[in-house]
Amino acid sequence: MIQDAREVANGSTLSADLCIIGAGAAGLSIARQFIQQSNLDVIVLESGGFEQEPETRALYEGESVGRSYFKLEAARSRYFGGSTNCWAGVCLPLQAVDFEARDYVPHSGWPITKADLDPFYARAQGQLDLGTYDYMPDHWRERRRQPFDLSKGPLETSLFQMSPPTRMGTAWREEMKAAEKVKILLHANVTRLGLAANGQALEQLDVKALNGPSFTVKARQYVLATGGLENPRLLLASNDVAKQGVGNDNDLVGRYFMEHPHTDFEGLIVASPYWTNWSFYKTHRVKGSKIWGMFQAPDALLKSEEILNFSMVLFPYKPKGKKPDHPLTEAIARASAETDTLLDDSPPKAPDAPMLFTLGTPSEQAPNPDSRVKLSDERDALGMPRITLDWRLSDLDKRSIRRAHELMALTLARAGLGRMKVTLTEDPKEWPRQTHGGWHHMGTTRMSADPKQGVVDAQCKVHGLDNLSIAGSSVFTTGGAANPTLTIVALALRLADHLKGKLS
Amino acid sequence: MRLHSRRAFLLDAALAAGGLAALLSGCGGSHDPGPLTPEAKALAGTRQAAAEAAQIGEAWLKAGDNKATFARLVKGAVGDVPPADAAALKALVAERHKADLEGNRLILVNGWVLSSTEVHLYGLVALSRRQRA
Repeated sequence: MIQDAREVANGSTLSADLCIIGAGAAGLSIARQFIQQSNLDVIVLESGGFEQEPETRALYEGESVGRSYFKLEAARSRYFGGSTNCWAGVCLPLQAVDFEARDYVPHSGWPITKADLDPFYARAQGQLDLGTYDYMPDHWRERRRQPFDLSKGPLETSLFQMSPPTRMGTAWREEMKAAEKVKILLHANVTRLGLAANGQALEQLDVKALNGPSFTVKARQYVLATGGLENPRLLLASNDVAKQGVGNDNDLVGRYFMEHPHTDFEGLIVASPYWTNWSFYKTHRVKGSKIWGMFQAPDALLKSEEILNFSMVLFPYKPKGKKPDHPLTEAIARASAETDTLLDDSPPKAPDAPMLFTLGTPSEQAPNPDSRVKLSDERDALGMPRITLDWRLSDLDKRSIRRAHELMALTLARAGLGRMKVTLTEDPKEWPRQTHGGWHHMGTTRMSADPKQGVVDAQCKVHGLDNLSIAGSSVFTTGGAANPTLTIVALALRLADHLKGKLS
Repeated sequence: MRLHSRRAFLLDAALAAGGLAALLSGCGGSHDPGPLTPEAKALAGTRQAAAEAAQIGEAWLKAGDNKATFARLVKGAVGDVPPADAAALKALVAERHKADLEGNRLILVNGWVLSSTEVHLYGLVALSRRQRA
C-alpha cells in the first residue's frame, strides 16, 4: 500500500519487521521481494511524492569543493522511484577483475566475487526489463549488424544492454499499491538513525514530513538505501550516541567517493576503406532487446597494463568547419588507406571525405580516501546538515584513460579499420575541461571483510551493528566501468534474500 | 589474443622520458641526408598518395633531431636488403607494417598512432621531395 506521511499522527510510533529508507532502485528492489512474504511487515520511507517537488528537491542541495561537479540536487532524483526517474537505462555487469584486489589499485578488492553476484545479475535483468543475461557479442550478432573482427586485439567488442529505461516509481506503482504487507510512506524524511545506548544496534528512526508531523519508526531490521551521497550524510549526521556518526568508528563513512570520469569527444579516428558497417556500435534492437556495442579490455590486459577499467563508445565526429580541424587528418586518411590496401587486388574505394569518429570513455576511478563526502555547516529545511562533496581524481585515473586510448588506436590499426589520434595529454594531472561524472555516486560506505577497511560486510550489514544494512552503490568497493544500476539491483536482490532468511 | 607489456608500447617510455627525439634519432632537417640511393628512390616511388605521405613525413621529421639519412629511413621502412621491384617492396611494407602493430613498434606523429614502418616510409617520401626541391 502507499500512504502519505503527512497523514501520520504527530508523535506516533510505527512498527515493522523491516524498514527500508529510500524508494529508489535499491530500496524498491528489496521491497518488491517482500510483497509475497505474508508473514513480514515492511515499511518503506520515501522523502518525496510521486512527482518532483521543489521543496523536497532542495533538501539535496550542497556544495562541491573538489573537481567541478554537477549541482548535487540535479544529479539525482528525490521522489518515488529515486534516480530511476532520471537514469538513461545503460546496463552492464561489473567484470570479474573489478572484484579482485589488484596490487596496482590501492584499496581494491571486494569480499565477494563476480560468481557470487552472477545469479543476482541474472535476476536483476528481469527487474530492469532487459534481455537475457548475456553480454557476449556473439549472442547479439546479426547478419546485417556484425561486430568488427578484433581478433588481433588488444581490445575486444563488448556491449551495454539498454533498459527502456525502467522507471520503478511508475512501473511498479500499482504493484506497490496492491501490496498488503509492504507499506510505502511518501514525504517521510528520516532525520536520525537512533542508535541504542550500547551502540550495537538501531532502536528507532526519527522521521519528519516537511511542514508536517514528526514520528518514529521501530523495526527489527533496517536498510539504508538513499543513494551514494545521502547514505553517508544520514550516517554521519546521526551522531548523538556515536560521536563520529553511525558505522563510522574507523572514519571511513563518506570516504572513497568514486564516479565514472567521462572524457567525451576525446580521440579522433579516421576510418579506413574497410570500415564499412559500424551499426553494431550504435544503439539498436535485436532479439527484442536494445543493445549498444562498445569496446573494452579483457581482464588480463587490464592487469598486464596495470590500468583501471574502461568502456569506450563511438560517436561520429563532425568538424566545426568544412575541413577537418585536426592537422594531418586528410593526409592520414589517404596515406593509411593506401598502406592498409597494399595487398588487396581490388581494394574498396576510400570515401572522398574522411569518415571520422571520436570516443566516449566512461572509466573506472581508483578508490581514494581523500575523495569524499563530508557534512557541511549549512542546514536544510529539516535542520539536517547539508553535504560537501570533494571529488578528487588521481594520476592513475588519468594515466589509465590515456593508455586506453593508445590501446584503442592499436586495436583499430591492427584490424585495418583506421588510424587514431590520441588527443588526451600525458600529464597525469591534466584533464580535459569537459571531464564529467555520470551521476554515479559510489564507494562512500564501501564493502570490506575487515571493519578497518570498510563500512559494510560482504552481506551489506554495517560492521559492528546487528540490524542495519546498506543498499546501493555506496557499498561498491570499486566501481569498474559499468553503469551502476544493474549492480545496485543485483546487490539489492541478494540482500533481500539474506534478510528474508534472517527475519523469518 | 596476444598480450603485450606496457613498456613494449614504446610510446610510453620514450615520451615519458621527454624523448620523442629519442624515437626519431636519424630523422631531421637541415643536414646532409646522404645520397638518394636507387633503393630510396624506388621505395618512395611506391606511394600513390605521395603528397599526403610527404606531409606526414615532414611533420615527423620536423619533430625530430637532425640526423635523418636516406639510408636510415630505408632501413627503418624495409630493412637492410630491400627487394628491387615495386610489387615486392609493397608486399614487404605491408608485412612489416603488420609486424610493427603486432610488436607494438609504434610512433606518434602529432598524436596520430602509426606503425614504425609507415612513418619511416613517409619520412623517406618527405626527404626525397625536399631534395628534389
